[in-house]
Amino acid sequence: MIFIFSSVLDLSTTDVMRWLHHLGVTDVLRVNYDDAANDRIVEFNVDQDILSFRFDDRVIPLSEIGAVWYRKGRHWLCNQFLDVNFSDYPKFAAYIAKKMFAEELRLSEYLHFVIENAVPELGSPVRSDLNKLMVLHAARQAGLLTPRFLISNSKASLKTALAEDPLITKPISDVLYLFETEETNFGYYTYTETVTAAALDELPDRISPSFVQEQIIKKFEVRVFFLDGQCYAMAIFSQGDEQTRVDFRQYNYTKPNRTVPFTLPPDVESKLVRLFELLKLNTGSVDFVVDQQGRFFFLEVNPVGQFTMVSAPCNYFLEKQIALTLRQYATRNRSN
Amino acid sequence: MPRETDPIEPPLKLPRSEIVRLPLGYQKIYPKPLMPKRIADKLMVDNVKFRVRSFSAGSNKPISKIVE
Repeated sequence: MIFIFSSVLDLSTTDVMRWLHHLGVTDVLRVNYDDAANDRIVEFNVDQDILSFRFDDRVIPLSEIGAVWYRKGRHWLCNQFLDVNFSDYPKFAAYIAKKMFAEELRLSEYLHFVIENAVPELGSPVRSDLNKLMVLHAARQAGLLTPRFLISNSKASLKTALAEDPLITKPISDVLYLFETEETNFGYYTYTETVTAAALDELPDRISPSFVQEQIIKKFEVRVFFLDGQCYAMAIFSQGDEQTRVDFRQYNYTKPNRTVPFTLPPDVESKLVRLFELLKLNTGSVDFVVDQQGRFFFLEVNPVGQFTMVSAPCNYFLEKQIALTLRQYATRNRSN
Repeated sequence: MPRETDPIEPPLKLPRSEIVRLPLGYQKIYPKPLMPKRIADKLMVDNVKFRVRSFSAGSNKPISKIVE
């Protein structure tokens, strides 16, 4: 069996499952972390390190799982902790809700830990939420160039930095990315933004700690999907369009950026492989910008990033490659 | 040459006195509709066309040099 952790709306998971089916792998179980409406009650028992699941009427011991793909999501045990109502004690109710969330998180972490130690796994729930700053550190350790950054709560320090280099800013954690309900058809986003002296002038002297980074005046940018040691790269020509120059995710749907398959320079590729070794990851999406001199600057890695946006325009058929990788993991696991 | 682009939605109008209390990376929040249907439909058509055309042309051969 191949076990997939994903989310309801992730179409790339569906595409990989179609490939698995095409390749003759029909015993696939997908668990969506946000599938709260699903009636298929998950029952599980953890007897120290012995783990078994029940989905519908089928009991699945860990030994039956050949490979796991951790696509996304962490709280796939949604609805396992039962709701309680302490409406007369709102402060306590909020506290206990937070505690139940923590219980679920720790349990989920342990279950994934047990799985990870027993079954070959593509992706990692434990390492899916990386610290951007520590990843930049690891990238430099791996020999990759990274744009210089500064984190400060002082307007004066930021102004000094801006006098030396053009700067961009973005959150230290993930970008803001909130969808309201489907009915409102609305969302809220933040993008990478340039920092201007005028904007800094409007701030108080002491500000919330803010991340700024040297703005690389790019020739083009590169998105790489890393899969088990292989790099599938795509060049994105976002620099010629005012709308996408700073952040290509400000998509121009009328005239989309040109995107082409790209071969990374061998030294960049080997450093990237080294970075994934340091991060103990076997898959993820990586962003680079290439400056006017052709130097590759590493920006960040997203262990659960989108790959269809690389797969489709470049004809890499990554969904098939992932299916083949999972099948290979399962076959290898069975023969051990 | 000016390019035909979709207008970028202006950042969300939140009280300036509160916005400046956020880290710099959070000070421009864009309210955006999810992809408009007319665009999603067009992309779907383009994507199908592109896939068929480029697949038959074998264009998945990566390039290592950018020709501008």
